[in-house]
Amino acid sequence: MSMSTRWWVAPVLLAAASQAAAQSGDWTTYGGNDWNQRYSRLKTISTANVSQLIPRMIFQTGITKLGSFENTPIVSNGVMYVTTPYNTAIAYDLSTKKELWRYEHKLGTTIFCCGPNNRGMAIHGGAHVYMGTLDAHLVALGAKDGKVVWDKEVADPAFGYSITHAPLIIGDNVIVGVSGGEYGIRGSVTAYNAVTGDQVWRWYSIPAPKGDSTFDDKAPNGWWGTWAPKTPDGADLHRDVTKEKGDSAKYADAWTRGGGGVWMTPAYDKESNTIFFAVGNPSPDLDGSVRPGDNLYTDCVVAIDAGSGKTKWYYQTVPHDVWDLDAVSPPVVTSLGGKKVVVHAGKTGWMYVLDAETGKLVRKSDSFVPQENMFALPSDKGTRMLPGANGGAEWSPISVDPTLDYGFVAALHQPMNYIVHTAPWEKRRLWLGSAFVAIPGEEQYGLFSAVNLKTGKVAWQNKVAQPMMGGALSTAGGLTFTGEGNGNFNAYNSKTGKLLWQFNAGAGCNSAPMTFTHGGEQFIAVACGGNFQISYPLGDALMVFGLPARSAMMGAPSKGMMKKKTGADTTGAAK
Amino acid sequence: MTRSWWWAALCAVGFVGGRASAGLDPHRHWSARNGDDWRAMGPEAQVAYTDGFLAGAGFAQAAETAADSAGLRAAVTSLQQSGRFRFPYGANVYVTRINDYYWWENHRPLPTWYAFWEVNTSLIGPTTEPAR
Repeated sequence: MSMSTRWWVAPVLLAAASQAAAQSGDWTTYGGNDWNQRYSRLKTISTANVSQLIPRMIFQTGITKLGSFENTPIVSNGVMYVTTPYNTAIAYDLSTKKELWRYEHKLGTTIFCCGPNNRGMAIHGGAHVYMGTLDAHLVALGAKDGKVVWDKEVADPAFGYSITHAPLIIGDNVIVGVSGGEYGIRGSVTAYNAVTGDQVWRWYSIPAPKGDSTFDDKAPNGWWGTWAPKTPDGADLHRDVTKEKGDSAKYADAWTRGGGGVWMTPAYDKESNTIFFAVGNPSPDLDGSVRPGDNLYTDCVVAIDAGSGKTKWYYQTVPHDVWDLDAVSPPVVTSLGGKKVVVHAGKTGWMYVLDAETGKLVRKSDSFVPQENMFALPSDKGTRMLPGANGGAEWSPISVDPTLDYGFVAALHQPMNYIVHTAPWEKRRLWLGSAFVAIPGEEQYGLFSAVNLKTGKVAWQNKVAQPMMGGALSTAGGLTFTGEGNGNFNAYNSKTGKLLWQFNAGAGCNSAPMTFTHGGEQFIAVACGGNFQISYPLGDALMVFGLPARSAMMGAPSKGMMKKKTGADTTGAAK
Repeated sequence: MTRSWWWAALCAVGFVGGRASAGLDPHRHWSARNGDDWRAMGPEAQVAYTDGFLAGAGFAQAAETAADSAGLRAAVTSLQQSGRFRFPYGANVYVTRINDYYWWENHRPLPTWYAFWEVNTSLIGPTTEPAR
């Protein structure tokens, strides 16, 4: 097919694929839909029969180098597409359970924080799939054969750039951010033409001062911002703004290395043609004295125009962050009382509900984790702080059930001491909160919570044994799924929080689950391969659960039979 | 031979870093520069100092296999394209991480050459440890 005729094929394929996916039970984007809700209308698996779930397929990727297995697979037209740490992409035929193809990206220079990982692929028109890589490339592969269609270097990995998130398809564009906030990058989000790989636009997460070609008029004072002494919702940041202003000339070019990675998949609203994403920490992570100012747009939820890449609005959760409480969990769009809002679960331990049109705060939830000494300054003996440097909600995507208006969040409880610049001489981790030291003997655990987005109250909360990294999935079957670092994969009643089913997969289930249909059956899939950063057991299994084949063919058993045999919870079961 | 590239790299640091480090005592030997000197430098000086260190380290590594200037040029190009420099990352990476390193007050007496080695090790894994 010549280039001159190829251009029109892509939108036609995409339109057909999107419509078909909405109807067919495919899962074709990281967040389940463009709004990132991780909510499925599938309900064959419900509160009435979830106790019968069994493993129906196990795909062991066979990679030789394990890392954090944070992938959410995508399913399109009977094929499941999986990515692994160190960037192997694999396609599995769901009918035969056999591997169709495998692409092993040859990594060049790599530098990455927090363990090697990749969270997934994007698919365009059913024809091409896309993967971001640890050496900051965006690779387009043929969906049928895994052959490289094009391979673009998004940014130079030698300067600290990498890509770990699943790209996002918008129309004929592939949208991708970059990681590297620990290494003095200047973060960005870029749109590439899905067919040709040509760059369409680039938006910078660190706004430049006036006079620079990348000046952003939504940040007229550049990344200095407004020198906010408090968070937008009024919490005191204990900043010495006078000193910062005095130092600003000395550090005039700090913005060029200001950090601000965008390393989780954005949300997209088609009606307003707006992309919403979270921006990570400023650089250097620990030392705010060398980066005076608010450090925009770090720690922000940002909205940009999908056509032009221009900023629409931003909401900075923590100006001039020195606690590593950056915005990482991907924002979710939902409708609340007829109003379109953007929801973000913060490392701060609050869920922020923002007006999708203006970015104004609608409400901040009650905290979904214990909080102590928020935004306190370090001390010699250490100031006990909660959340610790991992949050709150880390990168784990939340799920929003639009029928309940609940946001489901997997969070960490890790008390830490924030200490001043002295330390005994020992080799230590230099990034991600090394000024934060875990308190020996203090209990750490995880909290899985449902937050009522209309009221901001925590509707229910379950404590689990270990701090949580992974994510949530909710369904019209009245269920919410999430995994734990000890290998537990759990199903809860979305309304009540009651644990209805659990399976232990061995390695940590530290990824965001998904659901799909194949052959008329509904399945729940989750990668159970652990987490490098917080040392959960590693593995390479992609677990796929379903009802026993006979039950699926015969339909769900009667309520009476279920209660007698398994004591299944039928409260709130989908009709 | 194992340590020869270190010497060449550090000589380069002394030359380029000294020129970039306006305000630092020019009579102090480069091997004595430490975290206090680092923190006394402005950001641009830190980048220049780091670029100098990287240039010296890269030059010395290339020189191990080059017989003449043409070979040297080819070796530098090859190392850059293959990403096989012993210090493979850009100046911004090292500046950021060394700023973090010297944020700790007890690290400040340590020489800058040691900080570069330690930060690089944490980024890529162990290399031959120089004697302190």
